[in-house]
Amino acid sequence: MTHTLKHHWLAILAGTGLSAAALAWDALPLQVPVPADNPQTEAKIELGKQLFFDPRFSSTGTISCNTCHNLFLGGDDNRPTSMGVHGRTGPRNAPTVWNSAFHATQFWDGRAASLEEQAKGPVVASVEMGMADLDMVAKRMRAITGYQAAFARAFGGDNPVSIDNAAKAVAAFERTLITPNSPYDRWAQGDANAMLPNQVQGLLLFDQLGCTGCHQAPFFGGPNKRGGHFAVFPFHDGEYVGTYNLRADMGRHAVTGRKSDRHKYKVPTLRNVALTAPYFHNGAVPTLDQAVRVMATTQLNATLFEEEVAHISAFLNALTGEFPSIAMPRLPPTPGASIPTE
Amino acid sequence: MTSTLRNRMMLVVGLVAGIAASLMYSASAETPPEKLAATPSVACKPSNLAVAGGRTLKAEDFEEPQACGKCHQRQMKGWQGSMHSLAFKDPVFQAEWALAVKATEGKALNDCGGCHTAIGVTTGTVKFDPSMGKHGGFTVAKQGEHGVSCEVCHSVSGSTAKNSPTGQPGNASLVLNPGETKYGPLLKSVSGYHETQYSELHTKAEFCGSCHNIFHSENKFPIEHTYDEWKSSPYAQADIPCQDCHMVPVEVANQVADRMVRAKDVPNHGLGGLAAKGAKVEREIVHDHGFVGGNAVIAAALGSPGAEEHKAEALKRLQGVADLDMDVRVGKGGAQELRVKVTNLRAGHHLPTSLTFIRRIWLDVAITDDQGRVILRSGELDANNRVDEDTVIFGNHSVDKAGKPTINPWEIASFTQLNTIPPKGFRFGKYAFKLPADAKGFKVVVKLNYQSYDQAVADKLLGKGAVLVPTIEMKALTRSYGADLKMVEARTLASR
Repeated sequence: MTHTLKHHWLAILAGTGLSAAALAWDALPLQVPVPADNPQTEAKIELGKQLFFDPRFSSTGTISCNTCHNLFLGGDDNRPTSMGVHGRTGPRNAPTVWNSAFHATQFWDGRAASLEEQAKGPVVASVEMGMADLDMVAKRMRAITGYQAAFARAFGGDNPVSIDNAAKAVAAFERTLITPNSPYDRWAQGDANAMLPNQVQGLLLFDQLGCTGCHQAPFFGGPNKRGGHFAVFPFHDGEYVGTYNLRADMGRHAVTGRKSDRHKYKVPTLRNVALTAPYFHNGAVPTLDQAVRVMATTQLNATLFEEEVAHISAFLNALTGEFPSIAMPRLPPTPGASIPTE
Repeated sequence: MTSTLRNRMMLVVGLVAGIAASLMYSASAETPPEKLAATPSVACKPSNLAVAGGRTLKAEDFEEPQACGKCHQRQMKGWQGSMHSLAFKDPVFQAEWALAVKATEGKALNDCGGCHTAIGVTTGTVKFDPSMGKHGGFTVAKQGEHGVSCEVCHSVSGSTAKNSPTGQPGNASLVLNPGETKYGPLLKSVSGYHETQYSELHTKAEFCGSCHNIFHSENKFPIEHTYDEWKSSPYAQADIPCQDCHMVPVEVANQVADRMVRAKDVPNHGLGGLAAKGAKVEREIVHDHGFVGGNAVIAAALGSPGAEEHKAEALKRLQGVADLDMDVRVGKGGAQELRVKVTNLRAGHHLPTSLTFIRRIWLDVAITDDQGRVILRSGELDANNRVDEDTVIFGNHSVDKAGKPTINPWEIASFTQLNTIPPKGFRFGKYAFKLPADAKGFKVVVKLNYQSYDQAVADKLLGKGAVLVPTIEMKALTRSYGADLKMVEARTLASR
């Protein structure tokens, strides 16, 4: 077929409003999904940031969101499982808060449908912030005069200081925690030199092996579907399953009770994964290289050559994005007391 | 009848009715929701599509093919650039569809869309936009743009064929149940990504027949009957379904047709393997999803990914499907008579099939004598890329309810002439000619040609001169004869 003829066909296609563009790699979007009932505002985001860093909403006044989701690191705590009040540790590894707004559901098992819902969980978890109940949290917030004004600015209304509003504020702040412009993103936008050759090789390998089946570009997490999406881990048997005790946790089954949900988890984003060791739901795997080997074996029944592991790890390092600079907020004081008296 | 007896009888009748009602109730209570909606959905009419459990679907209920293709790479490679992937986008189809929608006051939107974008129809996102293209065009949620995509077939949980107006597969007689569970033909399938459900329907020709069997939605005339053709063919007798030829490479399909065995029974088919990256069970056959038929044009013209491979496969298929033979004899009255025999060697349906009144398979015949004189010429393309009406064309002649010729599917009420070639069957093209007295011999060159549609159709749909419909030579045969009508080697003739 002649070039002209082909041109005609394409012109006809263009007339139908459809594009013939081949599938390409996309960069991380700069806009996160925002729920209609919680629009982003400056005041809300600023309040959310204060609450995120404020340890006074833990029973001992020592643990804030940032304790386990350290924004000055990879948005987690680099521990196998997090340490909450009284040195208690939980059952699962802290997921990164960076880019969490792109996840369809929150927590490893997806038991929270939104960041708003998620924010209410850890404050009252006995192994995390350890508050007895959410009413107690609300009381503490109201007892801090500075917060009354901040909530009023952010939400207005008669009774602005509420758990729901606090969760909305924290979620709004978390929706600003995105890390674009990773080497991968710049490469996807056309800068061929943004990734090193072995990183590009790693990406192609990552794709060919089938990793992108679950870790889908550009978020490199599960699909953003209504109700979330969950995958079985570990899928195949093998020595790593025992070595790292990967089947002790029932995953989403514990939430739904459904047999089909056994060992199912939300597919976590791999953005900034190089910064969030140790790995997996139980944090049992200490290094990124080893995590790559475990995933290849348990999910794809593939044993990788060491060179392949290195390429994939190199690519995963290219998912480390640009972190917005964050100034620690001043928190409204509680003069004369470390935590508000109850 | 005494009143007591009547009362008793009414009691009995009442009891029976009550038992029947409770049986029906318990049956429906235990029937999974996807089985309940085996009646075409009102919202999808006049197509026979249904949504399991009468759910209201959103475009987001369907995944886009690239998500599936990351694990099902082999299937994705086949599907990309297939006519299934272009079922919605194909500009020729869109133009035809636009004319249909305008002529039927909108009924054709779902009527055609049911198969061409089942996602668009079940989600109600397919819309007609009269401002697009030459005749109008269509928009749909992006999930629906991919035509017959992974999610269409693998969301199918049942069939509405029994409850459709014709009681047969056709007009999108499918029940869609999109969600975590994917339906497919593999037993003991397990996936870490989605739930799996074995579906016997997916192993059968009836599955494909859900769309490859099209009845006029009002007069019920079978406009396209590929499934029905198969059903009354030796292939159906041998339990060889559509999938065994159209979901394997052409080389394997040819073996299926030559041996009349299932694809899995073709020696050394080489199609075994994993159905997905990281899958647990090695399969006897992993099906290609290229669904290669006769269309070697659209994908390549649109520059779709995988188009060149599809074009090559389609050419291979077209060039291996039929066979030619010929003989020459003295006919009644002294003229010579050429008979060209065209055999449908390897298609499990007629040649051509589907739009038998639009697809063109014809004979191009040239007879020249030893002195280079043209004795007979038939089926030659003219300056307008068309053949004349005396050409031997294998196809059906369609008319509207008034008996007027039409090729608009929405107007067709019957066929007045049937000339397609049945599976394993043949038809003749006959030509009379008069050899000059001084000719010592002659040469016959026969070509079997194919066009997806006539140039006039392309001109009407896309605008005059927009495209030149390519002609594909399916088969050619040259023979030389002496004046005694006995076949000779071409060289012998030249030396005489």
